Amino acid sequence: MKKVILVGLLFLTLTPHVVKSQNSNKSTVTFELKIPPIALINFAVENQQIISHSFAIASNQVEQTITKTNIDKTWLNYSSIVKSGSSNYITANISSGSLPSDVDLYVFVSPDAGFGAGSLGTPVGEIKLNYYPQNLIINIGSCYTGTGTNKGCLLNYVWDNPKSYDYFINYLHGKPISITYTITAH
Amino acid sequence: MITALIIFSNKLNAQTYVAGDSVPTQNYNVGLIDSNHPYIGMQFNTTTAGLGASPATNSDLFVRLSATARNYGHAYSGSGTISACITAGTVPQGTVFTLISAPCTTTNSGGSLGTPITTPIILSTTDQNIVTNIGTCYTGTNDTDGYQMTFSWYSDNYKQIHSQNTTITITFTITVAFH
Repeated sequence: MKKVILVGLLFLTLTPHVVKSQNSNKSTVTFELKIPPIALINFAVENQQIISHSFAIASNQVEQTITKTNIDKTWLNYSSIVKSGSSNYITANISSGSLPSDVDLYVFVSPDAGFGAGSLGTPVGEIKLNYYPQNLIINIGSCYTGTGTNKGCLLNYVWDNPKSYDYFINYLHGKPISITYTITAH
Repeated sequence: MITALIIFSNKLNAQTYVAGDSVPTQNYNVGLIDSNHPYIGMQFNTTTAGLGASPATNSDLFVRLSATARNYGHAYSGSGTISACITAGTVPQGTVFTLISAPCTTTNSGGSLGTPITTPIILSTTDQNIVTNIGTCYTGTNDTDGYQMTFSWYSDNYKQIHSQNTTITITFTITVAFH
Protein backbone atom coordinates (compact mmCIF):
# COMPACT_ATOMS: atom_id res chain seq x y z
CA MET A 1 0.00 0.00 0.00
CA LYS A 2 2.81 2.36 0.93
CA LYS A 3 4.41 1.67 -2.42
CA VAL A 4 1.21 2.58 -4.24
CA ILE A 5 1.01 5.94 -2.39
CA LEU A 6 4.65 6.70 -3.14
CA VAL A 7 4.28 5.88 -6.81
CA GLY A 8 1.12 7.97 -6.93
CA LEU A 9 2.84 10.98 -5.33
CA LEU A 10 5.75 10.68 -7.71
CA PHE A 11 3.33 10.66 -10.61
CA LEU A 12 1.43 13.70 -9.35
CA THR A 13 4.45 15.84 -8.51
CA LEU A 14 6.74 15.11 -11.41
CA THR A 15 4.44 14.27 -14.29
CA PRO A 16 3.21 17.80 -15.07
CA HIS A 17 6.74 18.97 -15.72
CA VAL A 18 8.17 15.92 -17.34
CA VAL A 19 5.57 15.25 -19.97
CA LYS A 20 4.50 18.78 -20.73
CA SER A 21 5.67 19.96 -24.08
CA GLN A 22 4.65 23.52 -23.21
CA ASN A 23 5.02 25.63 -20.11
CA SER A 24 2.96 28.81 -19.99
CA ASN A 25 3.12 31.61 -17.57
CA LYS A 26 1.30 34.93 -17.33
CA SER A 27 1.89 38.50 -16.22
CA THR A 28 -0.76 41.20 -16.00
CA VAL A 29 -0.66 44.98 -16.33
CA THR A 30 -3.49 47.33 -15.39
CA PHE A 31 -4.28 50.55 -17.25
CA GLU A 32 -6.36 53.50 -16.19
CA LEU A 33 -7.98 55.03 -19.25
CA LYS A 34 -9.47 58.48 -18.88
CA ILE A 35 -11.66 60.45 -21.25
CA PRO A 36 -12.48 63.76 -19.58
CA PRO A 37 -15.43 65.90 -20.66
CA ILE A 38 -14.27 68.61 -23.08
CA ALA A 39 -15.97 71.90 -24.02
CA LEU A 40 -13.68 74.33 -25.88
CA ILE A 41 -14.59 77.20 -28.18
CA ASN A 42 -12.64 79.86 -30.06
CA PHE A 43 -12.97 82.34 -32.90
CA ALA A 44 -11.10 82.33 -36.17
CA VAL A 45 -11.64 85.67 -37.90
CA GLU A 46 -10.76 86.55 -41.49
CA ASN A 47 -9.13 89.96 -41.95
CA GLN A 48 -9.86 91.12 -38.40
CA GLN A 49 -10.25 94.73 -39.48
CA ILE A 50 -13.83 95.38 -38.52
CA ILE A 51 -14.52 92.91 -35.75
CA SER A 52 -12.06 93.51 -32.97
CA HIS A 53 -11.32 92.49 -29.45
CA SER A 54 -12.03 88.84 -29.95
CA PHE A 55 -10.81 87.08 -26.87
CA ALA A 56 -11.37 84.11 -24.63
CA ILE A 57 -13.16 84.68 -21.34
CA ALA A 58 -12.73 81.08 -20.38
CA SER A 59 -11.88 77.92 -22.31
CA ASN A 60 -15.58 77.43 -23.00
CA GLN A 61 -16.45 81.09 -23.58
CA VAL A 62 -15.30 83.71 -26.12
CA GLU A 63 -16.36 87.28 -26.71
CA GLN A 64 -16.02 89.60 -29.69
CA THR A 65 -16.79 93.27 -30.09
CA ILE A 66 -18.54 94.30 -33.27
CA THR A 67 -17.56 97.62 -34.78
CA LYS A 68 -19.66 97.64 -37.93
CA THR A 69 -21.95 95.45 -40.01
CA ASN A 70 -21.32 91.90 -41.14
CA ILE A 71 -18.24 92.45 -43.27
CA ASP A 72 -15.66 90.25 -41.64
CA LYS A 73 -16.14 86.54 -41.47
CA THR A 74 -15.97 84.90 -38.09
CA TRP A 75 -15.68 81.14 -37.73
CA LEU A 76 -16.49 79.27 -34.56
CA ASN A 77 -14.04 76.43 -33.83
CA TYR A 78 -15.02 74.03 -31.09
CA SER A 79 -14.11 70.73 -29.46
CA SER A 80 -16.45 68.62 -27.42
CA ILE A 81 -16.53 65.34 -25.54
CA VAL A 82 -19.75 64.59 -23.71
CA LYS A 83 -20.73 61.96 -21.20
CA SER A 84 -23.10 59.24 -22.27
CA GLY A 85 -26.63 60.53 -22.74
CA SER A 86 -25.58 64.18 -22.61
CA SER A 87 -24.87 66.86 -25.18
CA ASN A 88 -23.22 70.25 -25.39
CA TYR A 89 -24.71 73.36 -26.93
CA ILE A 90 -23.41 76.77 -27.94
CA THR A 91 -25.27 79.89 -26.90
CA ALA A 92 -24.87 83.54 -27.92
CA ASN A 93 -25.80 86.70 -26.03
CA ILE A 94 -25.06 90.42 -25.99
CA SER A 95 -22.58 90.73 -23.17
CA SER A 96 -21.57 94.41 -23.43
CA GLY A 97 -23.24 97.57 -24.76
CA SER A 98 -26.89 98.10 -25.52
CA LEU A 99 -28.91 98.44 -28.68
CA PRO A 100 -31.34 101.32 -29.33
CA SER A 101 -34.91 100.09 -29.13
CA ASP A 102 -35.45 100.36 -32.88
CA VAL A 103 -32.34 98.36 -33.79
CA ASP A 104 -32.09 94.59 -33.91
CA LEU A 105 -28.95 92.57 -34.32
CA TYR A 106 -29.12 89.08 -35.83
CA VAL A 107 -26.51 86.40 -36.13
CA PHE A 108 -26.69 83.67 -38.75
CA VAL A 109 -24.76 80.46 -38.16
CA SER A 110 -23.91 78.18 -41.06
CA PRO A 111 -23.57 74.39 -40.94
CA ASP A 112 -20.17 72.98 -40.03
CA ALA A 113 -17.67 73.22 -42.88
CA GLY A 114 -16.84 69.51 -42.65
CA PHE A 115 -13.17 69.49 -41.72
CA GLY A 116 -13.56 67.82 -38.32
CA ALA A 117 -15.19 64.64 -37.08
CA GLY A 118 -17.88 63.40 -34.74
CA SER A 119 -21.32 64.69 -33.84
CA LEU A 120 -21.00 68.40 -34.60
CA GLY A 121 -24.51 69.38 -33.59
CA THR A 122 -27.28 71.28 -35.32
CA PRO A 123 -27.02 75.02 -36.04
CA VAL A 124 -30.33 76.77 -35.45
CA GLY A 125 -29.70 79.10 -38.39
CA GLU A 126 -30.59 82.57 -37.20
CA ILE A 127 -31.25 84.19 -33.85
CA LYS A 128 -32.09 87.74 -32.83
CA LEU A 129 -29.44 88.50 -30.26
CA ASN A 130 -30.50 89.43 -26.79
CA TYR A 131 -28.91 89.98 -23.42
CA TYR A 132 -29.67 86.46 -22.24
CA PRO A 133 -28.03 83.40 -23.87
CA GLN A 134 -29.94 81.68 -26.64
CA ASN A 135 -29.11 78.40 -28.33
CA LEU A 136 -27.11 78.79 -31.52
CA ILE A 137 -25.86 75.21 -32.07
CA ILE A 138 -27.61 72.36 -30.26
CA ASN A 139 -27.12 68.61 -29.75
CA ILE A 140 -23.34 68.73 -29.97
CA GLY A 141 -21.91 65.32 -29.15
CA SER A 142 -18.26 64.31 -29.12
CA CYS A 143 -16.59 66.13 -31.98
CA TYR A 144 -14.04 68.65 -33.22
CA THR A 145 -14.24 71.16 -36.07
CA GLY A 146 -10.63 71.73 -37.00
CA THR A 147 -8.88 75.01 -36.25
CA GLY A 148 -8.70 78.25 -38.17
CA THR A 149 -10.79 80.07 -40.74
CA ASN A 150 -13.02 78.00 -43.01
CA LYS A 151 -13.27 75.41 -40.22
CA GLY A 152 -16.29 75.00 -38.00
CA CYS A 153 -19.34 77.24 -38.35
CA LEU A 154 -19.43 80.63 -40.07
CA LEU A 155 -21.11 83.54 -38.26
CA ASN A 156 -22.72 86.45 -40.08
CA TYR A 157 -24.11 89.50 -38.31
CA VAL A 158 -26.97 91.46 -39.77
CA TRP A 159 -28.25 94.80 -38.49
CA ASP A 160 -31.93 95.50 -38.77
CA ASN A 161 -32.97 99.14 -39.24
CA PRO A 162 -29.41 100.48 -39.51
CA LYS A 163 -30.57 103.78 -41.07
CA SER A 164 -31.79 105.13 -37.78
CA TYR A 165 -28.63 104.18 -36.02
CA ASP A 166 -25.12 104.93 -37.21
CA TYR A 167 -23.49 102.14 -35.36
CA PHE A 168 -19.98 103.16 -36.36
CA ILE A 169 -20.39 106.60 -34.75
CA ASN A 170 -21.88 105.08 -31.66
CA TYR A 171 -18.92 102.75 -31.47
CA LEU A 172 -16.56 105.71 -31.66
CA HIS A 173 -18.43 107.20 -28.76
CA GLY A 174 -17.61 104.20 -26.71
CA LYS A 175 -20.70 102.10 -27.07
CA PRO A 176 -19.46 98.88 -28.61
CA ILE A 177 -21.62 95.83 -28.77
CA SER A 178 -19.99 92.63 -27.62
CA ILE A 179 -21.32 89.16 -28.23
CA THR A 180 -20.34 86.20 -26.07
CA TYR A 181 -20.46 82.61 -27.26
CA THR A 182 -20.49 79.82 -24.70
CA ILE A 183 -20.22 76.06 -25.12
CA THR A 184 -21.68 74.20 -22.20
CA ALA A 185 -23.25 70.88 -21.24
CA HIS A 186 -26.92 70.18 -21.00
CA MET B 1 10.37 9.89 2.56
CA ILE B 2 7.16 11.52 1.38
CA THR B 3 8.30 14.92 2.72
CA ALA B 4 11.60 14.63 0.98
CA LEU B 5 9.91 13.93 -2.32
CA ILE B 6 7.73 17.06 -2.08
CA ILE B 7 10.68 19.31 -1.30
CA PHE B 8 12.56 17.79 -4.19
CA SER B 9 9.63 18.50 -6.41
CA ASN B 10 9.45 22.16 -5.33
CA LYS B 11 13.09 22.66 -6.10
CA LEU B 12 12.46 21.48 -9.58
CA ASN B 13 9.57 23.82 -9.97
CA ALA B 14 10.26 26.59 -12.46
CA GLN B 15 8.58 29.18 -10.22
CA THR B 16 11.66 29.36 -8.02
CA TYR B 17 13.42 31.32 -10.76
CA VAL B 18 12.83 35.00 -11.41
CA ALA B 19 11.66 35.89 -14.91
CA GLY B 20 14.58 37.40 -16.74
CA ASP B 21 17.20 35.16 -15.12
CA SER B 22 19.28 32.77 -17.09
CA VAL B 23 17.66 29.44 -16.20
CA PRO B 24 19.74 26.29 -16.62
CA THR B 25 18.43 23.51 -18.82
CA GLN B 26 15.92 21.40 -16.95
CA ASN B 27 14.15 18.16 -17.46
CA TYR B 28 11.24 20.21 -18.75
CA ASN B 29 10.55 23.40 -20.69
CA VAL B 30 10.51 26.64 -18.74
CA GLY B 31 8.74 29.84 -19.63
CA LEU B 32 8.63 32.62 -17.06
CA ILE B 33 7.25 36.08 -17.66
CA ASP B 34 7.05 39.21 -15.57
CA SER B 35 7.23 42.99 -16.01
CA ASN B 36 8.47 46.12 -14.30
CA HIS B 37 4.87 46.69 -13.11
CA PRO B 38 4.51 50.36 -14.02
CA TYR B 39 1.47 52.43 -13.18
CA ILE B 40 0.00 53.33 -16.55
CA GLY B 41 -2.60 56.05 -16.82
CA MET B 42 -3.58 57.35 -20.25
CA GLN B 43 -5.85 60.24 -21.08
CA PHE B 44 -7.57 61.79 -24.07
CA ASN B 45 -6.94 65.49 -23.96
CA THR B 46 -6.78 68.73 -25.89
CA THR B 47 -6.64 72.35 -24.84
CA THR B 48 -7.18 73.86 -28.29
CA ALA B 49 -10.70 74.53 -29.52
CA GLY B 50 -11.18 72.74 -32.82
CA LEU B 51 -8.65 69.99 -32.26
CA GLY B 52 -9.56 66.38 -31.54
CA ALA B 53 -8.36 64.90 -28.28
CA SER B 54 -4.80 63.75 -28.89
CA PRO B 55 -4.07 60.07 -29.25
CA ALA B 56 -2.26 58.88 -26.15
CA THR B 57 0.79 56.60 -26.19
CA ASN B 58 2.74 54.95 -23.41
CA SER B 59 6.02 53.02 -23.44
CA ASP B 60 6.60 52.48 -19.72
CA LEU B 61 6.13 48.73 -19.73
CA PHE B 62 9.05 46.32 -20.05
CA VAL B 63 8.23 42.62 -20.20
CA ARG B 64 10.99 40.27 -19.12
CA LEU B 65 11.17 36.56 -19.44
CA SER B 66 13.21 33.41 -19.15
CA ALA B 67 12.81 30.50 -21.50
CA THR B 68 14.71 27.28 -21.64
CA ALA B 69 14.11 23.94 -23.26
CA ARG B 70 14.09 20.47 -21.95
CA ASN B 71 17.33 18.89 -22.98
CA TYR B 72 16.36 16.21 -25.44
CA GLY B 73 19.97 15.69 -26.38
CA HIS B 74 19.55 16.92 -29.91
CA ALA B 75 19.20 20.20 -31.74
CA TYR B 76 15.92 22.03 -31.41
CA SER B 77 14.36 25.17 -32.74
CA GLY B 78 12.51 27.54 -30.47
CA SER B 79 9.03 28.64 -31.31
CA GLY B 80 8.02 30.27 -28.07
CA THR B 81 5.73 33.28 -28.13
CA ILE B 82 4.61 36.21 -26.04
CA SER B 83 0.94 36.88 -26.55
CA ALA B 84 -1.36 39.51 -25.09
CA CYS B 85 -5.08 39.94 -24.55
CA ILE B 86 -7.55 41.93 -22.48
CA THR B 87 -8.63 39.90 -19.46
CA ALA B 88 -10.59 42.52 -17.53
CA GLY B 89 -12.42 45.70 -18.45
CA THR B 90 -13.51 47.03 -21.81
CA VAL B 91 -11.79 49.51 -24.12
CA PRO B 92 -14.09 52.57 -24.29
CA GLN B 93 -16.49 52.68 -27.20
CA GLY B 94 -15.20 54.61 -30.19
CA THR B 95 -11.57 53.97 -29.28
CA VAL B 96 -8.88 51.44 -30.17
CA PHE B 97 -6.08 50.20 -27.94
CA THR B 98 -3.02 48.86 -29.74
CA LEU B 99 0.27 47.28 -28.73
CA ILE B 100 3.63 46.77 -30.38
CA SER B 101 6.81 45.35 -28.90
CA ALA B 102 10.34 46.59 -29.46
CA PRO B 103 13.10 43.99 -29.85
CA CYS B 104 14.47 42.85 -26.50
CA THR B 105 17.01 45.13 -24.88
CA THR B 106 20.58 43.88 -25.21
CA THR B 107 22.20 45.09 -21.98
CA ASN B 108 21.54 42.06 -19.77
CA SER B 109 19.95 39.60 -22.15
CA GLY B 110 21.13 36.50 -23.95
CA GLY B 111 19.97 33.70 -26.21
CA SER B 112 17.32 33.55 -28.91
CA LEU B 113 15.09 36.43 -27.92
CA GLY B 114 12.59 36.14 -30.72
CA THR B 115 11.13 38.61 -33.17
CA PRO B 116 8.44 41.20 -32.44
CA ILE B 117 5.41 41.37 -34.71
CA THR B 118 6.00 44.42 -36.91
CA THR B 119 2.43 45.75 -37.08
CA PRO B 120 0.69 46.91 -33.89
CA ILE B 121 -2.01 44.51 -32.76
CA ILE B 122 -5.44 45.79 -31.78
CA LEU B 123 -5.89 44.40 -28.30
CA SER B 124 -8.99 42.31 -27.72
CA THR B 125 -10.15 39.49 -25.51
CA THR B 126 -8.50 37.04 -27.93
CA ASP B 127 -4.84 36.20 -27.37
CA GLN B 128 -2.58 37.52 -30.14
CA ASN B 129 1.16 37.03 -30.59
CA ILE B 130 3.39 40.05 -30.16
CA VAL B 131 6.78 38.28 -30.13
CA THR B 132 7.45 34.97 -31.88
CA ASN B 133 10.31 32.54 -32.46
CA ILE B 134 11.56 32.70 -28.90
CA GLY B 135 14.22 30.10 -28.14
CA THR B 136 16.23 29.53 -25.01
CA CYS B 137 16.89 33.00 -23.68
CA TYR B 138 16.75 35.45 -20.82
CA THR B 139 16.08 39.18 -20.86
CA GLY B 140 17.71 40.41 -17.66
CA THR B 141 15.79 41.37 -14.56
CA ASN B 142 16.16 45.15 -14.30
CA ASP B 143 13.20 47.52 -14.73
CA THR B 144 14.33 48.54 -18.21
CA ASP B 145 15.38 45.07 -19.34
CA GLY B 146 13.23 43.10 -21.72
CA TYR B 147 10.75 43.93 -24.43
CA GLN B 148 9.62 47.55 -24.30
CA MET B 149 5.92 47.67 -25.06
CA THR B 150 4.30 50.69 -26.69
CA PHE B 151 0.58 51.14 -26.24
CA SER B 152 -1.43 53.53 -28.40
CA TRP B 153 -4.95 54.60 -27.58
CA TYR B 154 -6.90 56.59 -30.12
CA SER B 155 -10.37 57.14 -31.51
CA ASP B 156 -11.57 55.34 -34.60
CA ASN B 157 -15.10 56.72 -34.32
CA TYR B 158 -15.15 60.08 -32.59
CA LYS B 159 -18.88 60.48 -32.18
CA GLN B 160 -19.02 57.26 -30.17
CA ILE B 161 -16.63 58.59 -27.51
CA HIS B 162 -18.06 59.48 -24.14
CA SER B 163 -16.31 60.97 -21.16
CA GLN B 164 -15.51 58.18 -18.71
CA ASN B 165 -12.82 56.63 -16.57
CA THR B 166 -12.19 52.94 -16.88
CA THR B 167 -9.65 50.28 -15.99
CA ILE B 168 -8.51 47.46 -18.22
CA THR B 169 -6.13 44.60 -17.56
CA ILE B 170 -3.82 43.19 -20.20
CA THR B 171 -2.45 39.69 -19.64
CA PHE B 172 0.83 38.67 -21.24
CA THR B 173 1.43 34.96 -21.73
CA ILE B 174 4.66 33.23 -22.58
CA THR B 175 4.20 29.93 -24.33
CA VAL B 176 7.28 27.81 -24.77
CA ALA B 177 7.24 25.03 -27.31
CA PHE B 178 10.48 23.45 -28.42
CA HIS B 179 10.81 20.82 -31.08
